[in-house]
This record gives sequence, C-alpha cells and structure tokens, in this order.
Amino acid sequence: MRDIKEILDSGILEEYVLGLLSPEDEKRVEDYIQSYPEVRAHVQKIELSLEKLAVANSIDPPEGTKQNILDKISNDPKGSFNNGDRFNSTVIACALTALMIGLGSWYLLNQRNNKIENLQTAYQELKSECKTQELAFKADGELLYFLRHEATYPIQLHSNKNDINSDLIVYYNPVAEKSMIKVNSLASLERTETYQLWADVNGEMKNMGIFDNDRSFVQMEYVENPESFNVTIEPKGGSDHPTVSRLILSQKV
Amino acid sequence: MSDNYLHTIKRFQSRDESIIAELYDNYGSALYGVIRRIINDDQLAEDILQDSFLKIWQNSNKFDPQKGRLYTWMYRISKNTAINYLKSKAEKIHSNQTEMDDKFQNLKIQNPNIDVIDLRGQVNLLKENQREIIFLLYFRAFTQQEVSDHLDLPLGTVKTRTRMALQALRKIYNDQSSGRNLKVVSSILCLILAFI
Repeated sequence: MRDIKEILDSGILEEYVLGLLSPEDEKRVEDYIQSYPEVRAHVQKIELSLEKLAVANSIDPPEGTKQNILDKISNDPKGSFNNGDRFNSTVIACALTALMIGLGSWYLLNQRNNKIENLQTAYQELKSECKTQELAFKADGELLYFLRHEATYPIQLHSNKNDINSDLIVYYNPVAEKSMIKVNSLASLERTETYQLWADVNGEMKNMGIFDNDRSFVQMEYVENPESFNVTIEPKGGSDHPTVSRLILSQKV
Repeated sequence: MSDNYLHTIKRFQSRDESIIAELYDNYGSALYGVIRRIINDDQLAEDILQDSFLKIWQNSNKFDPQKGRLYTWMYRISKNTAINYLKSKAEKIHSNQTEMDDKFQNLKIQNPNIDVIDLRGQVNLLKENQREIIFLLYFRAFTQQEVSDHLDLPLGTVKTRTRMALQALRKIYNDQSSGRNLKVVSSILCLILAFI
C-alpha cells in the first residue's frame, strides 16, 4: 500500500485534475480516491480551486448561445430530455423499425407457408400419380405374365361372313382360370348396341361378358371347358341368350 | 459535498430537463472562457461550447461522482472537444498570441463569484512562473511536455511547478473562503488577465 503522504506530495493528483494523466495512471488515481478519504478530500480541494479560478475568468458566450444549446439537445435523439410529454423520436424510430421487421417477418412467413402448402399439394399429386403409375405397371406386369403363361392359349376368332375387317383373339388359361380378349379390329356399333362374347359348353352358350371395339386387353368371365368361343352383336347392356342371327365371330377351341 | 451539489448530480443523472439550463447558467461562461482561450474565434468557440454541452448531456449516465466533481468532468469534455477541433483543423495553438492578448485586456469578469472580488494591484501570492504554468495547462490546454517545450524548461520542473502552483491556489481559495485574503484572489485574477 502506497504511503498516503507520498501520493499527496507526488503531484499526481494535480495532474489528474488537470487531465494530464494517461488512462492507466487515471485509473490508478481513481483507485486511490476510492480507497483513501484523504486523497479524495485533496482532489476535491484542487478541483474546487480550479473551478473557482475558471468561474473568475469566465467569458460570456455570444447572445442566444443558451437557447441554441437547449434546442440542439432537444433535437438530438441521443440527447432528448426525459420528458413524458415530449414526442420521443428514438422510441418512435424503434417502434417503426420493430413494426417493419414484424411486417417483413409476417410476409416472409406467409410466403414460406404458401410455399410449403404448394409443395405439399404438389407432393400429394405426385404421390397420387406414382400410385397410378404403380398400379398401371402392376397391371401391365400381370398382363404380361398372363400372356406368357404356359397354360394361356390364344384363340383367333374368325368371321363367319368372311369379314376380313373383324379380328379378335381370346386368351384362355384353364390353370389360372382367366380369360382375356384383344380386339385387333372390329366395326363400330350403334350406341344402342354392344359386342358380347359367348362360350359354347355342351351346346349351351354361356355369357363371358360384353365389350366394345376398344383395342386394349379386356378381361372376360372365365368359363370351364369351352368347346368354342363366339361373338354376337346384342342390344346395349348385353343379352341373356345370344342373338344367333347376329353372330359375327366364332372359333372352336 | 453539499446537499445542493448532490441534488444537482441526481437531477443530472436522471436527465431532468431543467438541469441543463441550470448548468449553463452556473458554468457556461466558465467553460466558454476555457474554450475561447483555445479556439481563436468567437463563433467557433460558441459552436464548440454547444457541442460540448451536447456531449455532456449525451454522456450524463457516464458521469461518476466518485471520481470527481461535475464541473471538472464538464471542463475535460469541453477542453477535449476544443483540442480535437484544432487537431482536425491542424491549427497552431500559439498563433495570434498578440491578438488574443489585446482582446483579453478589456474582458469583463461576468457573474463574479462572491469570493472573488476585482481588487486590482493587490498582493501577488502566486509566483509568476507558477501563474504561467497554470494558465498554459488549464486555460490553453497545453500538455506538460508542450509547456516544457514552450518555456524551455525540463519536464520535471514543469511538474514540480504545477504541483506548487495548485497548492498555492488551493491555499489562496481556502484562506479566501474562510473570509481572509480577498485581495489576494483579485490580484491573482488581475495577473492572469494581464498575462492573457
């Protein structure tokens, strides 16, 4: 601990009051002031004497300086007075900034939410499309399997009227108990008419289903032990019994 | 510290609107006197005084009464603002010395402190070399090195004379505030003005 008298006699306190010390030395003196009442009292006396000297040697500023200072302070955001009635531009600026940030954030969030919603919709649609494709692929696979099955027999039906434009194949599989047809060529019918496939089983025509001239594969009803396959033209919706006069295709199995 | 002074500090730190006008009334001229002796121009000195008060106000929360008196803190801000202006303008502090001497010869003392009475020609209790140093350091914002260079004195001598000058000044004001040696104060005043 430094001797107090040494501090008081060193001149460092005078230099402190005159603002002549380095930041480090200033801090040191401030510590002395905090620690020693005698040092604090000594510093105050120096300050008071210089204060009185300054007042005694004061010079009046030009007219209007006081008002200029008060105006400058009241107009400065950092220097505004602590007056509840006065409009605080700093508070307003902060509030406006906060509002803009809030609006901006709301907008961006809204945009983001919209984007998410759109993405979700697109995802669902894509998912649905994938499912459809998957089913179609599965169907194609099953069709291919059926067609290539060793027990699947293709039976080409022929026109009984030598109609070279009618061309239809029945694919019949007694193992899988499945029948399909493929229309290669058939004339278009009236709207009130339809094609119908029959299987002749022991002289009895058994219904295998109706179809139109669409050229895709169509699964039909399975009938055991057919002796022949036959196609007739029937009224829309099909018939319980074949209209023999309108038999157009036939083939023994 | 007096109750009045403590109340002033409290109002200043709580940014009471009325305090700034009061501080100007009490210290404005003193601070202007310091600034005007550094800056060789009335208008510029006024501008710097305005800037100083603005800084004083903006930094009111930084004033620590434990470290010193409010006026000393305000003095430092004002002095530094003036010095920084000069540094930015690269003006010489020592220029126009004669013009300043002539100007200050007829300056009146405004708002006289009741402890200081203008009694010219009274006993001089401050040595001339001590007066000179106080004036250069306090009113002209010289550093001790600058005083050393200006007066062609060793730095150690400047430091010693600074301490002795302020001790003497303190003694004068203490004696004066106890009701004695009013004439001494006025003589110091006259001598400083004469030196200016």
